[in-house]
Amino acid sequence: MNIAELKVSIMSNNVPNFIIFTGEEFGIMDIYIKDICSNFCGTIHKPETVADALSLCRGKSILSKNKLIVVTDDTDFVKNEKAWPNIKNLIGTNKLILKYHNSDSRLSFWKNFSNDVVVFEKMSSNVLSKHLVNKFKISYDNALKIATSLDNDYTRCLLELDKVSYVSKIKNITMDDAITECIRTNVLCLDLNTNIFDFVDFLLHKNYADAFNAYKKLIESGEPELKILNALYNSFKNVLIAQTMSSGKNIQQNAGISYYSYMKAKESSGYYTNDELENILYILMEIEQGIKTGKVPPEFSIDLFLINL
Amino acid sequence: MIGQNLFKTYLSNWKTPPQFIILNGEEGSGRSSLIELITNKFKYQTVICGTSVEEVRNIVSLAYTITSPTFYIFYNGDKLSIASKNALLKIVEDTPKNAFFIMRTEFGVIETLKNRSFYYEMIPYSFDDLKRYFIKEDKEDLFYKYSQICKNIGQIKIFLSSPYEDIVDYCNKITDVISNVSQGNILNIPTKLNLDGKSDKWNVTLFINILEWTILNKYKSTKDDKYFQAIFRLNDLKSKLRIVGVNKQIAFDNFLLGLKYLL
Repeated sequence: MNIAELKVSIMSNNVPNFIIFTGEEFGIMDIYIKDICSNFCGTIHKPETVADALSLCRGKSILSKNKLIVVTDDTDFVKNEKAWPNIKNLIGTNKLILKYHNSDSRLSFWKNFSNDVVVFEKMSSNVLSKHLVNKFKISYDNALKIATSLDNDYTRCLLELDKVSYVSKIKNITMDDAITECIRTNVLCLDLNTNIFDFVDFLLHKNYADAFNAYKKLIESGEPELKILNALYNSFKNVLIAQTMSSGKNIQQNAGISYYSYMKAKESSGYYTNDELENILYILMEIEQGIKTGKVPPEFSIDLFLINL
Repeated sequence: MIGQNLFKTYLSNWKTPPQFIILNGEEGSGRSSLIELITNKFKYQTVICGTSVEEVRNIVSLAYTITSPTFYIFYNGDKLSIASKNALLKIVEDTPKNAFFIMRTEFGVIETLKNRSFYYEMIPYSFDDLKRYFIKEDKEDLFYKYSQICKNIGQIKIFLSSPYEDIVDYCNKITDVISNVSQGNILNIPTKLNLDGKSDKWNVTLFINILEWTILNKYKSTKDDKYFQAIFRLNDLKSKLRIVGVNKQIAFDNFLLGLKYLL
């Protein structure tokens, strides 16, 4: 089932009794659950496991009415194949929604219930920005800035813009002015400075103080070390190519990098000699292979590189 | 199938296959052909297995419940993590009745698995085997010229289906002029290779074999020590490429940059 079909079923009050929600957008899932709930009964039950949910379904009372039960991340049910065939019968006239953060499509659980799964993927920056413009009456540029810096996470966007709307009301200014004010005063938790490429650019320009600050933020944001090492390797390699090859129409064919990457690397050329760059590539190779062979702990890998730089 | 007569003898004597078979040998040595021979003889249903630990654990638990004989085939045995291999240990210790495992590896397996399984090391093809294959393909003249490049039938197949003359020319060019070209040009060399295993660029093993052959020929004709050192570097590259999950592009870049100063 896709989201469009789910919408139709909610509008026609014909939602299946058993649905599985998965994907990164838990915020959007909750909106749909509220919609289903308002059409269906009025109260949501949130037991920890499917087994608890089934005992809720079996419970009888004079006042009992149909229940909407939501269970989050019950991994035992994913493994318990024997429980799958009867689940829809055991629910009866109640509705059961299972929410999972991750779905490994190779597992038989996901194959077995493939028709019952609704995937909530992140919206694209463009779609999310337009949605935020309509909902909060902010400019498209500000919406795009917030959406991209929050990794297109709808829930986080709502939380941050909720703060903005309070600032807007208290100071009696427009939402756009409130966003500028919130960014200036660091009220918004935007990931504006935790970009790998900023860190790499600072290093390429030998701006070690800013590189160190950017590195701290990168580590705090949980960026994988191998991803940082790959970005470092490609950037230093591109600079070496830019320093040793003249520009031309066939730069992609001759150097294996795009014209844009070449021009970007050209801007950073001149800070290191060719020998230094070759040495840096060698160090990065040693560290990468060290991680793969277990000789270098990943958490020390970037520090090791920075010491050797 | 050419060669591997010892295994064929084993196979003809088996009434049921061993519960856990490991076929170890280099790329192109005929491991897949042997797997085909085994599955064709016994006609059991086959399941191709992935390498993630979840998948291996699922297969292990499934293996104890199946009722009809089934082959579980691991084509990428080298890519199994330690956790996956440990999950498989349960199978070799307490083998399920109807499950038969076949694993294809290039760099061997842990001793515990090896000792408890039917471990077969692929026998290298003889000079005559390779010659016979070239003759069969009506390319006998190529055998006399390039026989040292291809060490097995699989490699001959890749060699014949590749633009081998272009690769030989390119490798000759690398060894002749690498010391004079810019680093930018050197870093462009790996873009010709199929490093991600998905594109239709030049096969990496074939390229390395041809480069090795080219450097050896240079050494034979000049007796210059720098070519001898280059062979050492090439062997170092080969061992680095064997590391599971290693970034091949980075390894190649650094090998070629090192070669610039050596040659």
